[in-house]
This record gives sequence, structure tokens and C-alpha cells, in this order.
Amino acid sequence: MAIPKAEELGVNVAREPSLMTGAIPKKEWMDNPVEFKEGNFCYPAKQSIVEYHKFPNPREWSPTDDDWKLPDGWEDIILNGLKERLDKFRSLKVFMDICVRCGACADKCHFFLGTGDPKNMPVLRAELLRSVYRNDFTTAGKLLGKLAGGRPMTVAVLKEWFMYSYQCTECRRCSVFCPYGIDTAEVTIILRELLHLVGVGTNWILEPAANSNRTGNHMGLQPHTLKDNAGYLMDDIEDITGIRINPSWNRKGAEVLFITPSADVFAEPGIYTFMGYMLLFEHIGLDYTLSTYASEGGNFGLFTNNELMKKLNAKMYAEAKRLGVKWILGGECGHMWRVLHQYMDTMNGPADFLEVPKSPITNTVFENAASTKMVHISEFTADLIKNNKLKLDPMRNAHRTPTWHDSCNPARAMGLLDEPRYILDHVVPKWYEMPENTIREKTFCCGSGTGLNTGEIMELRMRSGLPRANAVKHVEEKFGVNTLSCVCAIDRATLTALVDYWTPNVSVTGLSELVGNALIMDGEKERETDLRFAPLEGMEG
Amino acid sequence: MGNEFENLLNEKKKEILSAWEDTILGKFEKDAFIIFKQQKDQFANPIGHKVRTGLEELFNVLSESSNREVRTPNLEELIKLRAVQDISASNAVSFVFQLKDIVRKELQIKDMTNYYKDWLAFEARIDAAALAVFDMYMASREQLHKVRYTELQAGRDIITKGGCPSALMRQEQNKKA
Ligand code: SF4
Ligand code: SF4
Repeated sequence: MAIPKAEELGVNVAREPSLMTGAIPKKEWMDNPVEFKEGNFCYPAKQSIVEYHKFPNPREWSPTDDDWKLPDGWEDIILNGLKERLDKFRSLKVFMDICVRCGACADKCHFFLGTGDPKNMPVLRAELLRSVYRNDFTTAGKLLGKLAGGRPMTVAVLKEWFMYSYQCTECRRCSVFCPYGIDTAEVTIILRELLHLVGVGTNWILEPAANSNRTGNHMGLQPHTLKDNAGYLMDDIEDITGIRINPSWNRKGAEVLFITPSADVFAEPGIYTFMGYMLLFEHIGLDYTLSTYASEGGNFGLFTNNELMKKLNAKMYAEAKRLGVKWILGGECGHMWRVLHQYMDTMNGPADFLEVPKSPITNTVFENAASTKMVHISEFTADLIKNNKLKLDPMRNAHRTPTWHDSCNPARAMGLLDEPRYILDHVVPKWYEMPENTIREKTFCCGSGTGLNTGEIMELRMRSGLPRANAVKHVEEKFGVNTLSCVCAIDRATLTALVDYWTPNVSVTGLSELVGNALIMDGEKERETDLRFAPLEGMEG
Repeated sequence: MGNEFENLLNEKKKEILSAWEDTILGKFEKDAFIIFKQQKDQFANPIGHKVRTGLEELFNVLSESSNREVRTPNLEELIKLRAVQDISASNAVSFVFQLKDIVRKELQIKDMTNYYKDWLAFEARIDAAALAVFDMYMASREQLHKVRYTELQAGRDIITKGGCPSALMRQEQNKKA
């Protein structure tokens, strides 16, 4: 920074480019190139990982390089890939054609609201692809080019795709406000797919996906490690409740296969949620098994391409078949439910070898899962509560005053809105809603979903999570909320960092953790602490 | 600062604040600027809200000749925002100094002789506030580093460590045994 001359004093101390993520201001958006610098991109996938997936063009490269070492004829690879997808996915073709640029979605994306970058307006994000589509796939574009809003596929365009398809969490909030139901998340999905065709992808997504493909879970945990770690958690349950629980693994002939994100077995705060599941199953005497092979609810294939998504999803059903269970119960994962409700049936379904899920405790038949045969733990738990099958003491959560974060995928992709609230009503003495335009279908994303919860973009995550954090701050100040509860493993990880920054007195819990605290187990000792070994109210001394 | 000068400041408060907001919001592209400036619902516009409320609090502190703390809740929120934006440290706090120019223009002080003592006092307050704001900015950056560190400690990064977590755990257990 130069020392200003006298006449400049008080005018402007520091001159900087605008706050567009690495771009120079005041130009037409199409002519506004992106600039990659440390902190505004996720690290690219390692060569070995790309090779493992057998994806094209494995190499070492960096987004900050001028030359991305793209394969020869990469433009044609992309355009052919786009053509193939336009033919295959009708939704894509429709989304390319019908946007009227009404702008209703423009200010609804948390990435736009937190960064102020116009290219994070959903309408412009889609335009990044639509402009190329127009240029090469519409008559007007072929004739008029830029006049018709078209532009050819260039390196600059490709770089822009990479920047902005990884500044979208595929949360679908924008689609709620679009009068035509255009789902920009699906545009992002296609952009990422196309980028993989020329070897442009991120490590934080591809490496967990490789782990999941190899060992059955993102963490790369092998069977004995999973079992051991779950065992340590059972030791903690025994210390807290006096009850010994022995989880059932890989047991053929169990009625239900339970699948949850691997982070629940391994990382805080998911482990407390896992303890909650185990207490619940013990409480009702459920005939369940866990699997060390289908040991991951998450599916990073959704963040990569449809083939990988299909493959990782198929493994859950293959395991259900091998074990001979009747149906599948799913834990607190976010995007697993998106994959299940939106894509599973056409990818791998119908799962005819399974039975329509029926709760063995209440005899409720889950008709909503008649085809996928998979029930959400919150649906299952809410049904148990409704039928009076659980002994609960909400006062064991009296040290917590939660608010409810609707995780994007369960809320918008499967409509799980009321069950969690019903459960909260019964397991905590009091909880509070965030403002109306930040919850339920209009919920704000954690800001780091779809494989963006990586440390190298921490500042960006704090910006994209700002709309969510701002609403949390509001209920913290207004009602004394100290807990942000949700049903998503990615949320539990990303919101933890988000609240650590914006609202440090708030902590993040899964819903089943709160259920586990409240459950009165047969033969238990008097509880003095919650599942985190924090003293219960009245037990602090 | 004399009462007369304080009154002048307060009479022009609305205009001053609006111009001050523009120095921060004006750095955004036009489309974003319009939304951030106009949308009054804080949940639909957290950046605009934090800029508006943060600047107003600081203005209130600066325009009263009292010793009120610079560190106020909404200003703190604004500085937290500045600390995670893609801007340099100097740029993040420069808005404090820009108030000088804005006030000079808005009050249309042509004849400084009447007010020069008030003006010097006001400028001194702004300079002191800038230092306090810089401390706040640094505190937010420190907090951000802690967040990053805590996340690393939580061990979720094993999913991209390329190593086998099972082997790592085994090593750890062997060490313990
Ligand atoms: S899907 Fe979510 S992140 Fe992506 S553009 Fe829409 S609102 Fe933004
Ligand atoms: S709301 Fe729908 S139609 Fe309107 S600009 Fe956005 S995507 Fe296009």
C-alpha cells in the first residue's frame, strides 16, 4: 500500500478490486475472468486418486497454474459430454431452455448472500452453462453467438465453471423460489460431471469416494476398526448409564439393516448421535444389524457423477440382499436421503427383494418407502413416540435450549420437516424456531455441503454459512438458544466450525443424541451426565 | 467536541451513515450493491444488515464526546464479516478513516476556523477508533485460526490423508498398550 498524497488523504486508504471472488470489477460478467488464489478453491484431486477411479486425465496440477494440462481436443470432449447429457436427462434440457431470467432466485442463494459475487446468483450460475449450450446447441446461438447470449467453450469458461460449480452446495434453496421449478443444483451436478471428463475435480470429494468404494466408508475404516471404535462408544454408554450394549454387526437374518454415515462412528459430535441410536435400539429391542461393508450412508458420488453415485448406492442394497434383511433403516445423513428419494429408484430400484418397511414395534407400515424400502431414523423414532413406545425424560436435556436446523437434503429433497420437530417436542423441555424465511423448505444451507467442508477454503465457508449463522445468532440473543440440532453428518461437521466462529456459545448436536439423553433405559443407574459426560442440570456439583 | 458540532453530526446522521455504508457496499458489483443496500430484512440480507447496524453503533460512539467503548456488539459482527472477506487487512479497516471525508462533505464545513478544535477532536476520536477496530479485526482472525485448528484436531481430515485410518488406530493402540 502506497502512502497517499496529501490531496488523497481521507479519500480512500486502500484501493482493492471488488469483492467478486478473485475478479476485477465493473465489466460484463461474461468478460470477467476468474482468478484462482490460495483460499478460493478446493485442492485438486491427487493423480493417484484420479487413477484409482479410472477417471480421465490423471496428473498433478493446480488451479493457480495458467496451463491446466487439459487433454487434446478437450473442447470436443466437453461438448460431446454435454450433448450426451442433454439427450439423457430431460430435466437438463428443460432447465437450459425455460429460464425467463425473472430474477426471483437471484438473492436466494447463501453463496451470493455471503459473498456478494453476482456469479453466485443461481440464475447466473446456470448461465455459465447455458451460454455454451446456446452457442452450440440452439439455432439462434449458432447464428448470432454473443448477441443471443451464447459464447464458445474456452479455457476461461472452463475455469469459471470450476470456480462456481464448487461455490454451490447443490442445496436447492433457489429452486423453491423459481416459478418454473428450475433446479440449479442439477445444473451444478452436470457442470461437475463435465469437468471430470477432462480431469478437473477436487480431492476432498474424490478421495473419500475412493475410500468408500474400497472399504465401504469415506473414512477408509476397515471392519475391525469400525467394530473397535463402536466398542469404545459402548464403554462410554456403560459408564454413563450402567447398561452394556453389544451392537450387532454383519448378522445374517436380522430384520433391519441400519446404515449411517461413518463419521457417526468416528468423529465428534457424530459419535454421540451413534450412542443415541444404540440406546434407542436397545430400548425397543430392535432386531437390527450394522454392516462393516455398507458402513457409509453418505454418497460422494452425488457430488461427482451419476455413475459413481449409482455404484456407491448399489452397495447398500447388495449388502441388504446378502444379509437377507427385510428393510433398511437409515441414520442421520443429509445427502444419502437425496440420493435415495430422487435417484435410487431409477438407478438401482425397485428393491423388490426387500419388504415394504413395517415397524416391528408399532406395526406402522411406511408406505412412503414402499419402493426404496428405506426409512429415516426420525420417521421411525417419531412413530415410536406417537405410539407411546418410548420412556422419555426431557429434563435430561434441560441444559440444552436447541433450535432446529432443517438440513437441506432431508428438508427439500425428501420433505422431512415435521418429524424432527415432533421428536424435539418430546425430548427437550423447550426449543425455539429460527425466523420463518430461514427454516423448513426455505432453510439456509450450512454453506459447506457437497464436499466443500475442507479447511483450505475456511474463509469462504464462513461467508457462505453467514445467512445460516445470522439466524442462529438471532435466536441465541432472543431466546438464549445454546444448541443447534440437525439430522445430517456433514452439517454436524460444518456447522461446528461455523458456530465456532459466528456464535461460539452454541454447540451442534444430532437429534438422536438428544433422544439418547432422554431415554429411560430399563435397569439403568441414575444418570449424572449426558452422553458427552457433561453434568445434567442439578448435578453440576 | 462542542455541543454545536455534536448537534451538527446528529442532524446529518442519516446522510452520513448512508454514504458511509456505500463505501463498504459500493465495493460489490452493482447487482449485489442494490440488493444489499435496499433489502431491509436482515435474514434475507445479512451483509447489508451487519454493515448498517455495525456502522451505526460506531457512529454513535464517535459522535458523542464520551469515552464509550468502541467494541460494541454489532460493530463486532461487522468486523467479523470483514475478517472473512477476501480483502487485505488494511482494506478491512479502512472504512473507519473514510468517515472523515464523508463528514467533511456532509457538514459542508467550508469555514474550518469556527470548528477546527471540534474537527481535530473528532479526527482524533476516529484515529483512536481505527486502532481499536484493528485490534478487533486481529481478534477475529485469531478466532478463525482457532476454528481451523479445532477442525483439524477433530480428525475429519483423515478422509483425505491417503493413509489407512485403521492402521493409524492400530499404531495408537499399540503405543497405549
Ligand atoms: S442449489 Fe443452493 S448453492 Fe446452488 S445455486 Fe441454488 S441456492 Fe445456491
Ligand atoms: S427464478 Fe427460475 S426462471 Fe427466474 S431467473 Fe431464476 S432460474 Fe430463471
